[in-house]
Amino acid sequence: MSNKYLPLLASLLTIASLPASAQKGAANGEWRTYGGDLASTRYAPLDQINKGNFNQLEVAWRFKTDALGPRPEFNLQATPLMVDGVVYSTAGTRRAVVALNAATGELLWMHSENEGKRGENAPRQLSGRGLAYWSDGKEARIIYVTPGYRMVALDAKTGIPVQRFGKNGIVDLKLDADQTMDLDTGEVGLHAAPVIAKDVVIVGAAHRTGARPKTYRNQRGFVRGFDVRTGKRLWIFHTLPAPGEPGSETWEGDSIRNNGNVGVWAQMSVDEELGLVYLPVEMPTGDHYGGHRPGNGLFGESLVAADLRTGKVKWYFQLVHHGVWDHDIPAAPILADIVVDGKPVKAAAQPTKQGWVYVFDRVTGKPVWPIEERPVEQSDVPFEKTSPTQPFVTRPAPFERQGVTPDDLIDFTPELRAEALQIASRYKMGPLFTPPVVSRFPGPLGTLMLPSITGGANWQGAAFDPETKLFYVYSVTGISSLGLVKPDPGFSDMHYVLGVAPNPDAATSSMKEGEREAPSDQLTVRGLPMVKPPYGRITAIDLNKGDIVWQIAHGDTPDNIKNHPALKGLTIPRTGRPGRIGTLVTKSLVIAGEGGFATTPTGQRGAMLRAYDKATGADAGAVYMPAPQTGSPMTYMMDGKQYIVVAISGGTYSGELVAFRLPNN
Amino acid sequence: MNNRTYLLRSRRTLAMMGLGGLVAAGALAQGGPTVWDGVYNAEQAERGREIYATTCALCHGPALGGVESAPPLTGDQFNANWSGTTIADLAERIRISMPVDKPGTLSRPQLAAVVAYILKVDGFPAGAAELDPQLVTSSPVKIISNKPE
Repeated sequence: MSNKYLPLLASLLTIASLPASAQKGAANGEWRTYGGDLASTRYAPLDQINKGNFNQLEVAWRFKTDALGPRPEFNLQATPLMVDGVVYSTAGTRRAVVALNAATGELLWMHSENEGKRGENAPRQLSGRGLAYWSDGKEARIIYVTPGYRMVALDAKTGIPVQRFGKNGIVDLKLDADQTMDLDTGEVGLHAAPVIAKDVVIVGAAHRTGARPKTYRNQRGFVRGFDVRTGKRLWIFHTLPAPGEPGSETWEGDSIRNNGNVGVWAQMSVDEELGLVYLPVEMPTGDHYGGHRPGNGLFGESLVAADLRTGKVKWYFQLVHHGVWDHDIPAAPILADIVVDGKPVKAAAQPTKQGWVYVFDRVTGKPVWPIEERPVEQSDVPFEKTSPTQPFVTRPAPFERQGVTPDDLIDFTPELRAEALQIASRYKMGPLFTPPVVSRFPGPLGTLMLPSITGGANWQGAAFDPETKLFYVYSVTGISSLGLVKPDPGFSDMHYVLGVAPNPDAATSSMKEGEREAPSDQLTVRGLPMVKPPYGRITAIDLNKGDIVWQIAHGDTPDNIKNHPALKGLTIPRTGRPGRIGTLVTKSLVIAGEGGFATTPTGQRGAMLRAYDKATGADAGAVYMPAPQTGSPMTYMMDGKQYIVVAISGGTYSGELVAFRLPNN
Repeated sequence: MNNRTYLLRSRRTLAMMGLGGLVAAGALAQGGPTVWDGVYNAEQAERGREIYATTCALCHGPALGGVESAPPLTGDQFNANWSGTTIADLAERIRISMPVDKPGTLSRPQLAAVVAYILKVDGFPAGAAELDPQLVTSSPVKIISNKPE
């Protein structure tokens, strides 16, 4: 036996010795599913790359995605898979599927669908977040969802559509959907990768973003299970119930007949032993105005555990009642086997935009630590009826700041703070769950919201170490304004959509020549973020105890802060940077790239792929990338070498997969 | 250098060669005009606001704040992506990729107006003259988040 097989053997022995559980991380040096395993741990027990050598990483290969569609893509969000020496990924503006040699990045095959008008109208464009792999030991398939919302099965060896699946390899997801929609213009799509377990493919649904919907009678976002061999629909779960179905009683009046969305646009997790798929559900139509949907609106903003084989609800928990904050549940819950107060718990840990990780017993749906219904401020927006209470997580402590007070505003200097307070005076401030307001000029222009509309955490989710029980989540500290305006005539049938009351004197600029303009609706102070840093952070939480173990700013300080004239002479600690940053956990490291471009320590423009000691959060190395991380990193072993692959893009840099490994010496 | 529309015809060819050319054009602009020099005017930005509202806001948000899949066009994330590049870089990126469902459909005057609006929202001052629509994708004007001293 040559040495190249030793790591594989070691991995097999390691896996064989583990107790049966839902989460083991990515096994056998491969990465077979989007989240590393069906528990979405994003963990791989590999340690060839470690804190002693991370800085020595070199580029093994890179795969540019420009020619996979009619134009380059600048927001590559995929996490590739690696199975049996082949890397699979979605990429390019048509969401092509590529198979690459895992050692060299050489293109083995490519499949692409030109969907014409259907593709052009897709609510979720571009290359998506990934794909799914399935094999029964005899044949192997790649399954993905196109921008036009068709599910395609490909032979993993050749890329040729599997004729026995659907119609010539394709299942049209706009059909057999318990609702009617135009095949070209019906507003349903999906960025997420399907999940496959026990020969069932589960597919969610996404829509256009909902801050300013054209209609509250939008398409609905049902979840379906399909036979992986034939593509036949096995079940459908009405995330927005039909009249008379369980949950329908939470929709008042006729609202249940006249609302849409409530899709599952995030990744899902599966416990095959329990036979349950965990569905993070988004909110109904209208991210910030619920006047057309009175009631709590199940199963909006709920975590739902459904039977893998039938789609029937086993349990659910609504995280936000009648939401008006866009607190869609954005990522897969992590299935974690933990020990709380001496008792083993099969848990589901749900990261959220609002900065809490909600921890449930995933068998019963009961919170592991109390989640309390507490009174919250009520909306005064016409026709709006917000919920008198909202669920508050009591443990773990939030991983993000929640709500806005003057203490949250920038305080690098007294002058900057005074300006921040002046801007804030034109907005409403308050704790988490402070409702939006009708925007008025000169104020209040809106309700300040922190975490922002995009979180907190978002689609990139979190990671988990099944050995130490530490949960890792990257989050953004940012601020949004929730102001509502009446839509322009003909634009929408909603009473209100997100917007800012215009400055009636906007066309007349009163600024001094050459000075920075301070627009009425921008939450910056002389170009600096209005809130205190860190702007991007990674938090490690011990899920056995519910304690935050460490928290660090992730990402070097942005150039405009380092070089800002108002901060001359000040020592600003590393501020971290915002982004959509997924984390990867290995035997000893937490690995994540930076968001946004900056001048790196070598003077190059780009971003760093960073590693931290996973026990302490201490810096463990960094390596240069020419562009920020935009897809979550993954890792695998190939011919005895560990690789880390990450999708990068942004600004003028088009999408690229970059693979790192250690030098040959 | 205020109130000028910056033209650099000889660099247009470079810009048309693709992004590599654009970076080269940006490099040539070292020490040259910047977005602090009043490179668009208020009327153009107002036209850009109207185009943005109908063409861009659905993905990038009414206040340019971004959503799950579309990055912010203002604040620290805009600075991180675009500070150090040129107006040509930004305009060319919009030209070839936006709006995402119908790329390449903005006319040059519309494209220049949208760029003007983004500059206005990001706090860069207006001037007297418009950003020249015909040369916006080759404009060497540098985007610098902090005002040069």
